[in-house]
Amino acid sequence: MDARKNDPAAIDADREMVITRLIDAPRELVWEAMTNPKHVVHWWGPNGFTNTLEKMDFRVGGEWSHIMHGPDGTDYPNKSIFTAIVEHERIEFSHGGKRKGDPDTNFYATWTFETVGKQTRVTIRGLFPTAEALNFAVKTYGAIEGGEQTLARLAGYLSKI
Amino acid sequence: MGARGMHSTLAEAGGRIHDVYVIYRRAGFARRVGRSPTYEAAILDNGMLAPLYLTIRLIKGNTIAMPADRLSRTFAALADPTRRAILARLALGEISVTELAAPFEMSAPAVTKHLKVLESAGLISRSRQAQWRPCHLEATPLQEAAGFIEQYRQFWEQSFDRLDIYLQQLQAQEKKNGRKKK
Repeated sequence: MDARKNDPAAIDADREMVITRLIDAPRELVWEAMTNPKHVVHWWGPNGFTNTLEKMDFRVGGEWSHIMHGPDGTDYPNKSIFTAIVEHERIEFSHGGKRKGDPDTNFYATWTFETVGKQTRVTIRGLFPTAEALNFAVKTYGAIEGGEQTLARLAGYLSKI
Repeated sequence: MGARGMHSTLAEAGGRIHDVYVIYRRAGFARRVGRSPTYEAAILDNGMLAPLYLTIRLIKGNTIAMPADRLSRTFAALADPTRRAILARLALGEISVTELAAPFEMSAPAVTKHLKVLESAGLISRSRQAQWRPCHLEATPLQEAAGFIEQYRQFWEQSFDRLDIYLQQLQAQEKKNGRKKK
């Protein structure tokens, strides 16, 4: 356990949540739609949300702030600082405006873009301070639920014989 | 305000949800993001709840438990590897403190201390009937924490769905306008 604590990669793996998506468009266009503020406001956020962009200064050290408007009229302010940009390949930013590793940082995000034939694979990595606890919760809860389903199936089977 | 000061102030508020919220807000841990005649929506800005837009609906003057606060306690309880190991063992079924302590090379009082943290977070309960007071795992807080991840996943699933549609529109527009647009 202590040896792992000294290995930043191991810690990151524990705290990371990864989401990938294959998008049916060339990489340059996907990059443009995901990094140009005039496009971002059109898709960012869950169904029914709209966005008011305050600032998207797309350069390392630049600030990205916008307000998300929920379907019930609730506002959710967002603020991030870009920490790395490799054109058409990778973006990193810290949400909450602080540096990576800072305990006050809400999360640290990395987006990567890869060409897959005529499509583009986008990978969203979120580094959360509490992800280790979160992943444990998912696994344990899943095990309990799975156990209950197994027992329910068994009960159903037993009632038939 | 330090964490300790925060906790004693919260204890004084006695769990009245609006009072707790006011204390959170004054300490800079929460901010109001919406308001209606019956409730205020706020984001807890404590470094883990804000990104997933967990709102607390504060029914003024009401004394219902604040879900976001319970989630914080769940996370705090799960942050310790020994406590996670205890929970993992309890997922297999109820067990006595003595049996639970055996694999940890830990004294029974040390294990009891961890159990108290887990119990106050609602992650376990202890039977008062049986003499040996077995510990049970409570699934609800785990389910809530798991729901937190689900919300994050949904945020991206739906954003990507919207991005797909938007990109189709962009490409159709580009085709229509030939090379003029760009």
